[in-house]
Order: sequence, then structure tokens, then C-alpha cells
Amino acid sequence: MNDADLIKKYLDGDINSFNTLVWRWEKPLYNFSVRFLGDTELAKDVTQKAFIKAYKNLKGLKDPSKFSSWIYQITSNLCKDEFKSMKRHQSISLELMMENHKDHRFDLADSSLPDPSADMNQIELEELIKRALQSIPVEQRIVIIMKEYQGLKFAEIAETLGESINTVKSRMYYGLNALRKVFNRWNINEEVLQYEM
Amino acid sequence: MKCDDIKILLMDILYEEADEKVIARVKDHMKSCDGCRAEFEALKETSAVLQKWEDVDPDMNMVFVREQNAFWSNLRERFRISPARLGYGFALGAAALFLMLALANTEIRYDQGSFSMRFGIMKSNDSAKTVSTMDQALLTSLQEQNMQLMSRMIEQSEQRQRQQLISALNQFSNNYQDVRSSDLKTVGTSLDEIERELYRRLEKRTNEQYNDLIRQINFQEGNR
Repeated sequence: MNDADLIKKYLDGDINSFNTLVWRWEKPLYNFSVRFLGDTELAKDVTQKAFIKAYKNLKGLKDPSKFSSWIYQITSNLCKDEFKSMKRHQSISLELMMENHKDHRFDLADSSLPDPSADMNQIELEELIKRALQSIPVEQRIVIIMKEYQGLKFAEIAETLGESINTVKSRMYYGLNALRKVFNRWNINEEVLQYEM
Repeated sequence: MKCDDIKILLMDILYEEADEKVIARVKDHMKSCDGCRAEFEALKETSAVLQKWEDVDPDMNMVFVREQNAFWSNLRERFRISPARLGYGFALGAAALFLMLALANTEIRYDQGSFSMRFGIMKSNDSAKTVSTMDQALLTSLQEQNMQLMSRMIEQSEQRQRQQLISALNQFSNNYQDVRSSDLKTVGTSLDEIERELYRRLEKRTNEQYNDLIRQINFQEGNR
């Protein structure tokens, strides 16, 4: 049963159909939020808020086949709001944070540290990627997460964000380039990862 | 094809969304452009690094249950009527009602503490006034009749209570006389009985004393 069928059943009064939608979508939405915000607890909050919003407003969704775009739109808007709130409370930049934590194991920009890939494991790598994503502009980050991790087509991302396909591709291109620079600065590349992982 | 034009197309090729024609054009360009080829490889590598961050299970266990709506919410839910449409419906209904009342020449009057309502195709204030005056006279008459009736009922009730009281007193008096008579009879009988017993005892003692006296006399005469 696809999303549209579940939505129709839910609107006919079957609450379990909505729960099926929740079970189907909670993992992708949670992972989207974690990669956007870099915080598991905030990601859980955002995911819950997204489902509650969907629960309340699903009747207003004119085309149930567009549920995917709609729920990603809700989640990305909530993530943006949460990120703004985070920034107000934590105005310190990534670079400044790294300067303040010279002894941090992930401070790969610090040449005094040994080769960062020498003792890198999965958790450390994820932490690095998380920080790299946090360092790029929000609009580029959303596109990269939707493409790299959610596996959406450029057309689907464009529809979700209400932008043109070329704008989305452009953001993807500049976002990837920004990440590449961060990874290069931290001396992370596929060859090193293949050797270490 | 210029390098700037290639940049966006590189995205299509990297994520396998380009058609054969575009792939051929870009590959053709990259054969002769080291910069674009190197950039493509770098972007591919960045994408590969990003892929190292694996998905995790959220472990959230969210379950939605149907909320208990209030009566009006249930009503709206059942008929799928928005609050705006519901308000519009009420307004329309009220307007229709007013229109009907207007067509029926409805008159609602308040006069000296009483409301009067009149329907009619033709308006006539005089007849309404006459009806109102007649109603007032009828009401006054009814009130007077009610007062009389109430007075009579109270009077009858008092009379009935007086009769009941007299009857009860008579009954009590009769009972008292009977009890008194019975008691006096009992006392009389008892006095008679006492009198008879006293007489009997006195007679017996007198006889005994006479006998004793006779015996003493006889004894004295015998000694002589």
C-alpha cells in the first residue's frame, strides 16, 4: 500500500494508517534532521513535531501523491527554525570552536596532531562529516542531504523547496565544492578512508 | 562547450540523472579539459566521503491515537464543515427566518408586562391593539375569578378544619366520660366489697367476743 492509499484510509478514519506512515517515514526524516542539525535529541524533537504537524494538516494536502515532498518540506522548515534557534544560543563558529579545542581529536586542521586518519573509526568519521555539513550554508546543506542521503531526484528536491531544478543543481555543486575544501583541509579523502575503514 | 556550462551538468552525471546525449557531450569535453575532469573526480570523492555517514534507527516508537473531540468538533468532522462555512450557514438561516417573518407581517408587541405576537398577510395596528385590550380585560377577569376561587377554597378549608376539631373534641369528651364512669363503677364496687368484708369481720369478732363473754359468765356461775 503506497502513501497515497494510506492517507486516503487515514482520512476515512483509520488512525492506524497514519501510524503506518509514521513507521515508514520516521527513519528517513530523523536521519535528515540529524544530518541537518547535528544533534540526535533535537532531531527527534523535530521529527516528532513534523509528524504532529502532518497529523493536524494532512486534510489540507490536496495531492496525496505529493506526500513525500510535503513531509520533507515540513521537516526542512522545522530544521531551519531549530537551526536559527541553535545559532542564537551558540553563535560560536566551527573554526572558532576548533581553535578553542586544540586538543580535540577531530581538530584535523591542527598540524601538530598526528595524521587524523591514523586512528579514525566510524563514529569519528561521522562526527567529522557532521561538522563539515554544519559549516556550509543551510540552503546548500539541505540539497546535499536530500540528494546524498535521502536519494531524491533533483526534480523532487526542486519541488520540495519550491526552487528551479537549476538552482538546486547549482546549490549542490557549490555545496559539494565547499565540503571538498573542508575535507581537504582536514586531509580526508576516499583513498585514506578506504585504507583505514 | 565552456567549462562554466559543464559544472551543472557534472551534477547530472555524478548522480546518474543525465541522458546519453548529455553524458556524451560532457565526456567529450572532459577528454580535452583536465580542470573539469579533476573537478569531477574531486566531487565524486566528496560524495563518497559523505556516503560513509550511515543511517541510524531513530528508536522513537511514535504512535498516534484518535483524540476525543468535543461535540461541535465531532459535528464538524462528521459533516466536514469548516467553522467559516458553519457561521455562514447560521447567518443564512437567520436571514431566511427574518425574511419569512417579514413576509408574514409578524408583529411582536410588549405591553404592560405582556408580550403579544401576531401574524397576518395584511397589516392592521388597530385590530392588534383591540386584541391586546381584550386580552388585558380577559386577564383581569380571570385574575378576579381566581382570587374569588382562592378565597372560597381557603374559607371552605378553614371550616372543614374547625368541624374536624370539634368532632375530635367531642370524641375525646365522650371517651373521657366513658373511662370516668368505668373507673367510678370500679371504685364503687370495690368500696362495696370492702364494706361487706369489714362487716363480716366485725360480725365475726363481735360473735366471738359475745361467746367469750357467755363462757366467762357461765364459768363464774359454775364456781359460785
